[in-house]
Amino acid sequence: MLSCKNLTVQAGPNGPLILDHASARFLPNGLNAVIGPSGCGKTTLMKAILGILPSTGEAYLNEDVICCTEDLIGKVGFAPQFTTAQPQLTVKESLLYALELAVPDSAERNRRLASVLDVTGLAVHQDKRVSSLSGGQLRRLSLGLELTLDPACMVCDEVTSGLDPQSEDQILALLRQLVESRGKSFVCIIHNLGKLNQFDWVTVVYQGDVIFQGSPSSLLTYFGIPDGLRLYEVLNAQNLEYWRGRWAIYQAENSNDFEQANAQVKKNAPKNIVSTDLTIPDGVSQFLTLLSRRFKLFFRDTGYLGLTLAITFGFPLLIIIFNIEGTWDIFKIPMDRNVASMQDVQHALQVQISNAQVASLAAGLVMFQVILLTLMGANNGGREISAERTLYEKERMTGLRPWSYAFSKITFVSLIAIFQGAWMCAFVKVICRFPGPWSEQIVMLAATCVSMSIVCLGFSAMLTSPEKSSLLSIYLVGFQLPLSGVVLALPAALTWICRPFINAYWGWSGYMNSMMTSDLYGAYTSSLPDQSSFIATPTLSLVLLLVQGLFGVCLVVIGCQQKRWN
Amino acid sequence: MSKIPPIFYALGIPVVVIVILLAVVLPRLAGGGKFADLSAFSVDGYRKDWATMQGNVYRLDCQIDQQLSFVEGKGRILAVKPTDTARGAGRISVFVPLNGGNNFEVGQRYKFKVRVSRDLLVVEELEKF
Repeated sequence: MLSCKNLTVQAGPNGPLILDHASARFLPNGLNAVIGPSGCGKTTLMKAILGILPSTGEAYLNEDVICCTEDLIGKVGFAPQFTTAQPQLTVKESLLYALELAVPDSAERNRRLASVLDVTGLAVHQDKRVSSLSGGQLRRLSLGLELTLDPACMVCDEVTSGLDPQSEDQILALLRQLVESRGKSFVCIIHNLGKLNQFDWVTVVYQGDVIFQGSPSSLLTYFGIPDGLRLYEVLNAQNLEYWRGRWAIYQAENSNDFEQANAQVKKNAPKNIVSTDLTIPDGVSQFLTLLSRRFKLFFRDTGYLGLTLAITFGFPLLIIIFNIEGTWDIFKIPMDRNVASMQDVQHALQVQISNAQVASLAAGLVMFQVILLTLMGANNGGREISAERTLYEKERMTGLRPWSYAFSKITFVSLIAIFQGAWMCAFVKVICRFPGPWSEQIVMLAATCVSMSIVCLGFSAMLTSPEKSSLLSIYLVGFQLPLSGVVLALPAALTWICRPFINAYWGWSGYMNSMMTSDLYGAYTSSLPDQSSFIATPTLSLVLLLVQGLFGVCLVVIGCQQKRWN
Repeated sequence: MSKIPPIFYALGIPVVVIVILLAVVLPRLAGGGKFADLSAFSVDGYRKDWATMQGNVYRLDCQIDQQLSFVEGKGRILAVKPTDTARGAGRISVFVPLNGGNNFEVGQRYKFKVRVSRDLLVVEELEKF
């Protein structure tokens, strides 16, 4: 069972101590309550024990030191206060996906699904969307999701908070049933002191330290109160040092309290509990499960789907309005003109001006396509991971591999981006009649959107807040046009410092270069103020976009590897 | 069974690919493309003393300005302007033998591999840019 010794958590390198050398042990096969005034460190204590928060000191599961959350996979579950289930999935789908990520054998998955639905009382609600569940049903679902892995111990953060008295009693009855029928152990952070008598072991946290542990009856005696509701009143009457001193004396005088309580719960514990097989599915299987779930959510979330479709099909319409007739009137200057004739020189000049205007429109429309694709990329990746970070961290605790998650996200945004790039290219090319090979141009625009999507996905993996990551992604799009140096010339010294990092420049450059055999390209290059200006080939552009995309992949993998609880 | 965590592969492979790509891409960016290994043609030097350059091969980045002459079955003489004016500006003429497949237009940019022949610059290879 869980225990800890001298556990200390500090808020930042020079911040205050949130948990100060706290030591505690919890009762196996029993219902443990963790109580204390708001902000005293209850959740911090449990998160530090589970390895979710960085701490000093020691935490143990049975006799084994807990180094990180991965040590607890399949052994300890953590049900946060608010369910992390996806609102667009049904109850059954939520449980099934959780099972597919954690249990390799399909027969065992079906058995556990039936068992979890039965024990949590969610069988009648299995086809309801999570978004339509009541508060009590959501708490049951939270517990159900933890039970999919069948851990021996579960930590429940305020599992009954905000529920009506009847629902609260039903949840506590469910926990008691799991203790008595399946030998589970629960550590519940609770606020309702009126329910303390339903627990076997109570831990009181005060100002960042554990200042009492014992049975509910010994708690009343220790604090000299008639019922639990008076606890905080008495607690606040003294300072932390007083309670620490008193607890040290009490422990010395009542050293066998824990053993007595342990013997008591063991009497009621079920016999012959079969330990669960802790094998988890391989990484590829988890990757496919996550990808399938993401696509299901994509088509279910009408708001997100509508936005994605609107920009995918709406943005190309913005481009074609500038040349809906698809005409590119490029006039040729005679090769054998008489350069000494004023009339020929004037004609050549007029043709050059006219061609430059047409070529400038073409170059502008290509840049417009590319910028809109980078905007789509920012929308694809900017919030993808940060918006569901808590769910991801929870699923890691049940054995989800970070690289399976990272590559499922990379694959998802890349597939969306490829479609967007290909559609943009095809639609605009057909209407505006851009010259040049289809394959090169589709690849260029798709690669532009893919690499921007992955870089923004990297931002969403590195940042916890979806607002911050999407804002950073939009800033990145905002810098594309000015720093590409295509529309406004950059200072010479800055041009090649900025361009390697500017996605839009390479997308534009590769697309423009693909039109090299056309008159449009010749007209554009001859209109350039600097005739030695560099326009990269599609191959070189693709390589640079690939490098940027790989940089994004690194960000995603590093961000997913790190632990970032909200 | 390998003890190396998958994270090392996940990060290591992209990093190795990035390093290799940069090693290939950067020299190309810094150089002059297809004829990067050739010396740049000096217009000033050619005008001053073309005879000492006779037989040498250079890279000439230029823009087509005019066709001076076309001889059926032989080729054409073009007047071109160097795009990089650091080694001299103004028009110079080059002979482009008929090698098929190239439609020249005024304003197009080319990289030429040129050999200095008697009184003439002969284009041996070319690439549009």
